[in-house]
Amino acid sequence: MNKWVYVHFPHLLLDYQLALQPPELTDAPQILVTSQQGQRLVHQATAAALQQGVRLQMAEVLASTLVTHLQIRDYHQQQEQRVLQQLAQLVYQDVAQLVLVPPQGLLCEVASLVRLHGGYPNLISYLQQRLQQWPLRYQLSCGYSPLSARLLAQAQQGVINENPAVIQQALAELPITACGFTPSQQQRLQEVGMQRLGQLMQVPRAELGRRFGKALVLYMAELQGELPSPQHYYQPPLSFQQYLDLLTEIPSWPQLLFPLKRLLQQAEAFLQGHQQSTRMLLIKAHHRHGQPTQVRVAFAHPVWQQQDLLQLSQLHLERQQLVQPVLGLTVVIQQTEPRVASNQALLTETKQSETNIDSLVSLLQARLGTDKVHRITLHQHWLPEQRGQLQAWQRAQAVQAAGQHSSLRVKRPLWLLPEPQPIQVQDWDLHWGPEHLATGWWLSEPVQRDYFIGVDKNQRQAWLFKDQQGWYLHGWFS
Amino acid sequence: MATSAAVEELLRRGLLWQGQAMPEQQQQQVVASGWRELNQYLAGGWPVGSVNELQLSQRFSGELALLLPLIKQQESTTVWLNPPALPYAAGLDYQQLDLRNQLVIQEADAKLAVWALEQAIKHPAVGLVLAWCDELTAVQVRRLQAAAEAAQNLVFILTTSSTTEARSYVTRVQLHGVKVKSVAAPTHLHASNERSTSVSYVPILQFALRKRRSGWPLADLECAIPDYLPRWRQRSGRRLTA
Repeated sequence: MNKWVYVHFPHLLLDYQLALQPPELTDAPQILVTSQQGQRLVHQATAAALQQGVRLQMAEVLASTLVTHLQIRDYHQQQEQRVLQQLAQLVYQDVAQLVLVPPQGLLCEVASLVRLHGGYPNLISYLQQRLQQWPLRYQLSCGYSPLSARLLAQAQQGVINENPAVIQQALAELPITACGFTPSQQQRLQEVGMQRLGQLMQVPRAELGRRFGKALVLYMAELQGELPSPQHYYQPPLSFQQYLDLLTEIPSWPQLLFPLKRLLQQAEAFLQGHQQSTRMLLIKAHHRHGQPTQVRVAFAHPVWQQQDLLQLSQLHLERQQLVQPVLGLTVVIQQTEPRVASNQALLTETKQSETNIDSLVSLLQARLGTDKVHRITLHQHWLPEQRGQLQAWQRAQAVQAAGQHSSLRVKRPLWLLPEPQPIQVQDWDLHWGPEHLATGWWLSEPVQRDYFIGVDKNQRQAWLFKDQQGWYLHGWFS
Repeated sequence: MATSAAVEELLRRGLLWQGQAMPEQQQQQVVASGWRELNQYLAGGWPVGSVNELQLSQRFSGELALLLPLIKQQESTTVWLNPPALPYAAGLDYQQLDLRNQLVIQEADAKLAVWALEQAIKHPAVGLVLAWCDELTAVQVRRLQAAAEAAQNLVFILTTSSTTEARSYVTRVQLHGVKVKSVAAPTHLHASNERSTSVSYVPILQFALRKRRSGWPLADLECAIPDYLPRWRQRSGRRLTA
């Protein structure tokens, strides 16, 4: 026997848009409007608007005269569909068997979850906690069939009880107008005096078929859960690419932080669901005209928590300029990797094992740029300036492993000058040398140098060389 | 006698000391500098959780040789901020430094450099920070000092300025440079057939401690740093003709 929970979000799109606005703006009365047969009707309204007398399906004109400063926007079903998808990702963290019921509902099969949580009340409060992550208004109901749960939730008559008799009773109270009948069916039922669903349920099934046709028999069977109604269970996407509409044009990155936070929260849910971490995010800012601005955020260490994602993205974005105001934001997770349990030894409590240096590198690269943070790398090369180099941290890792443990240990200075400097050899005392260094004749610019260790008048020890052009200072030993 | 109790407390924590006696050292955690004389002057070594200033009369006049034992003994990462030249892998490798533990930051913008410095100090995987910067304000130094103390990190600011303006550095060292002194070389048993008057030259670092935690400032100090510099063959040698 399956058990069903249906969650209905009557103001889904509007509530979602509110969640993206800074808190001080959410108290304003706002509505979403649809056009039906040339009439513009209120489709969704904020709590503030409802409080001031706006009702759903009310004409837009009436609503705007009732409430001063009413913000009116158009309702977009496509946008709401996207929001529902995102919502499904959130709920999927707890519920495996999840069905999207567009435009505003989620249906969950919960028989195993009820067992897991030890009863409906526990499960429901658990679900409620999860849903609270988004400030949405919703109605939740249990049912013994998908249809029964849906009807109760949509009619705002949620039942949280697994006893079929209680559900049955609640269903019986539903008015015929709230049962999802087509207008012609509704009319026929009302003509014979049916006001409540309960009256219909008392009619024997055979008579029902004779009087109202087969469609109604099927309806009753579906309501009672006698039809094994096939459900298309939700499959979470394999990659994360989330788009978000902004209500107004936003001219600067700091103002985009709030919506970005939401997107990154979803990114965390995605990564958590897949047990993955990421090393690269792509943030796209969409403009009214032209190509979107793209910002790549690379991390030196695998990241998955919203807090880290946000902090590092924020540092990256501070270095960026927005040329045009932004209408929409996309976040794409580009490089994922399975999460590896860090094998921190239990016994060693050295500083090193506490955290990895890579998190510092991520932070520095985010603020300063990837070309400012380096490793010192050693290469198998005869030319001194090729032998030791600085390399950007991420690129250096592969080289590092190979370059470790050099076979050649000769006395070399601790410092190398970026460019050899011409010197007057009379100013120096030569203490050691020469060491002859010649590169292959096959190179385009063969190098022939004699290296010396010299001391200047301040007793600083330097690495000097002489070639065809003259004497040069190349490094320091101190 | 509340005051005397407060004074006692300060004495106990080593924040106040009496001129005639060195304070007890056990409460002050130190990292040995690697050099015998310097350890004596610093009452054991560099204090853990401190920002120290090395004032250089000239760059490359022995400062890295002085710090090298400290870098070598690090098990966690050493951060180099804005080094004045390329820290040369071949030379560091020759001195048996673990190159994997070295992180070099190059940031020309002074404000960002100080930010990076603070992040590095705060990070738990960092053990030692070497920063070459010339202009740090009193406020910045105080902030860095607080960060270093909280993270128990050791920080060195290397600068070419020789200001005596007060800053909250824990130690302030003025490096004058290296001089060489001749000492009679220890005669080896199997080398006894060589001239017994053989002389080797030991580099001696000349410096002044203008501020230290455990005592008065000291001027005209010397510390032998024999290990990491190439050997002097002669004191002021004839030039090799090349």
